[in-house]
Amino acid sequence: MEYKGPYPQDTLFSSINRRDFMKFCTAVAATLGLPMGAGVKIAEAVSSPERPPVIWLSGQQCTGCVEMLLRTDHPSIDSLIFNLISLEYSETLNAGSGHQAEAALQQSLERYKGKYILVVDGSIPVKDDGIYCQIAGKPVLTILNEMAPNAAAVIAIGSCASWGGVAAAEPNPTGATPVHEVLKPKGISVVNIPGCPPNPYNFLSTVIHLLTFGKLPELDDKGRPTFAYSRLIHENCERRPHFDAGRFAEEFGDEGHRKGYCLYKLGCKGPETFNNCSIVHYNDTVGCWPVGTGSPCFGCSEEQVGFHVPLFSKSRVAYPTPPNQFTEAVPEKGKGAVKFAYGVAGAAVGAAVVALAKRDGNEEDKKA
Amino acid sequence: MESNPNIKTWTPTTFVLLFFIVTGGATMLYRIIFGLGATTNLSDAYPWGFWLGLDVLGGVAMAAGGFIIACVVYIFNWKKYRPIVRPAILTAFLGYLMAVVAICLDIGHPFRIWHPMFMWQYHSVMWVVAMHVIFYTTTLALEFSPMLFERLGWEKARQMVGKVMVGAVIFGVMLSTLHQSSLGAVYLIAESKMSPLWWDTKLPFHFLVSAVAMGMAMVSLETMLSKKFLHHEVDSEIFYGLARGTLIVLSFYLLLKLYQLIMVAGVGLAFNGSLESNMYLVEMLIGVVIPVVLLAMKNFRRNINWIFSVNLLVITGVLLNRLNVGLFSMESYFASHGLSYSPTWMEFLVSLGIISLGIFLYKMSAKHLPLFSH
Repeated sequence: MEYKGPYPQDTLFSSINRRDFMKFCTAVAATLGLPMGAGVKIAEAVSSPERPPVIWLSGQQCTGCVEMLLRTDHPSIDSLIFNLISLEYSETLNAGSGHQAEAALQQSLERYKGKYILVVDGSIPVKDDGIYCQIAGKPVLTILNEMAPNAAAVIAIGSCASWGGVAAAEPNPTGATPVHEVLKPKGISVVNIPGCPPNPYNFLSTVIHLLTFGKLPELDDKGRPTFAYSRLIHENCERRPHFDAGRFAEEFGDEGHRKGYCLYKLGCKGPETFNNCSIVHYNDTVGCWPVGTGSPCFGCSEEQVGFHVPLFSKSRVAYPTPPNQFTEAVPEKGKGAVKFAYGVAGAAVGAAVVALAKRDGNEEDKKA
Repeated sequence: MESNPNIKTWTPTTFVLLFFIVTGGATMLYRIIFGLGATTNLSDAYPWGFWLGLDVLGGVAMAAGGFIIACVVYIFNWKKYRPIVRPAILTAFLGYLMAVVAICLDIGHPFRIWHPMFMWQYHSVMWVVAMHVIFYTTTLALEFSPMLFERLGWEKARQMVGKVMVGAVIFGVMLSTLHQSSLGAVYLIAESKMSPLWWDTKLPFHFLVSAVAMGMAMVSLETMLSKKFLHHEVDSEIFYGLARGTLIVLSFYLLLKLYQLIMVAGVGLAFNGSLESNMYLVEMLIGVVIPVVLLAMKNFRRNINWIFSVNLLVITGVLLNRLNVGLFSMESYFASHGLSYSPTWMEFLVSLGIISLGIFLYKMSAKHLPLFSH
């Protein structure tokens, strides 16, 4: 395949050493829950000169999902778009612009017909024939309907593309609709990678699975890859022991909050949100995810939770599991025997005072 | 011999005592039929409450006077104290009987009280305590029996008991020291629960020494009360001697507790304003510091009125100590576990009934037995 980037091919390969490359492939295999040997297969697939063409279409979006990809280290964005995939079109990353970019898009669509991966971020407005979001004078609804039938796979990235996201929040003036609903009548299945933004590795791992094995990873009934979205955040949360022990931050900045207690009472939606945030942290930085920084999860990646449920309302604990044992909770919860103790102390002091006061009386005054 | 004509049976006090005995007895019956849960506020977290703290720990400590006076009279042969040996032994006997009643009510299955005798668990301090109670109550019954035999006129039996009396007293002293301290040893297991203001490996010695101090104060007090109400004339020297003994033992106890405070707990712990620290201060002031200061001055030590006051202080203080060890020293542990305990009115009624029974039996013994004959 012809290389179209600005640099010669071998210069690019020298920018990433073999060791880092194999580490990346192994990490992807681990994220996918595949055996370690799969790392070699992945390496073969992603280093083949046949880089898969990717067309990135944007609807009503905030560019957060693209930014998310720019912030990865393994691989960095340059090796991603130049070595691993062939990014044919992206409004954020296009080298050209205007008519030039649109012409290149048309070219790619024809050349890779039936082979390209269509990635969509942002919701699709359908109200009034989709006039609320247009690219080059064409509603994105029309563009999507043209591109999707010829794609090898359609991946909806981010909560907007997956569920409608913030644009679909009440009263939803543009009729923002998730991609899979737009494409449902055509019978095209869509992979949803929800999140606001999603963890880049959930996206990359899906793409690389597709490259390596020629098929999509296992999906759940909502089109989400099960390797990333089969577990509640709550299940593997680093603050889970606090939840089980009844140690909660009661308000922002209180002692419990500063001590890193469970954020459930601040409205954390971890107990009803399916995602792997608590295991795979963001930007390759340990502890970099909302709960890890003391901010309650707001359920961005869960349909009808993020952007629909008030931020600080308590979440429904979907699958409460009893802890094996209750650790010692915060002191001063019970009253102990404090009233009784002071009653006894009072009686004792009273007896002592009576005993001392009686000293002056003669024997006749003494009573038992 | 005849009943003591100086003591009237039917006085207002007797009626009050009988009233408490009847209500307390009815409550005990209720407890036996309907169980601990219906009667008390005890729980799995608070299995030992008011009854254990006051009636058992306090009652046994009060009874310590019995073995001390028996020891000085029968073994050291200090004749001065002969007039009070029988009352002291009677007090100890009644005290132990009351403790036994309280234990019977306090254990989950009262009718299994005999189990330790046949099912030995000699790794358990509880078993040691149970066996001590059994042996010492039996011994006290033996020490007490001459009064009964005299009253009944069983001269032969009385002589037989007289032959083994010294042996029984030695056995009783041995058992008492073991038993007083093993009651403290029971709490050694509660290291993680109790405040270090009380908990220490030396807790058994604290129990023994404080029980000795309290025993002497108790004998002194009851002799004064007998003198006043039951017309038992005794020499004032007895009170002075007991006051001196109390001073010596209590001073030693103060040293033990100071060592505990400074070397184990840390002085700050007693002044941090927590419930434990406040209870500790009240206990130490009432039961130890004020009595030692007062008794240290000879004017006070040889003044019957002052000795009476000090006796009350020491008894109050040591009873408070037993309640502290049994309940309040574990306050922060229980509070942190969200637990609460406060005795029900029925627990109070039972305790009141048991104590009233003790006083009533003492009075009846004074009237009908040769208690004050010397």
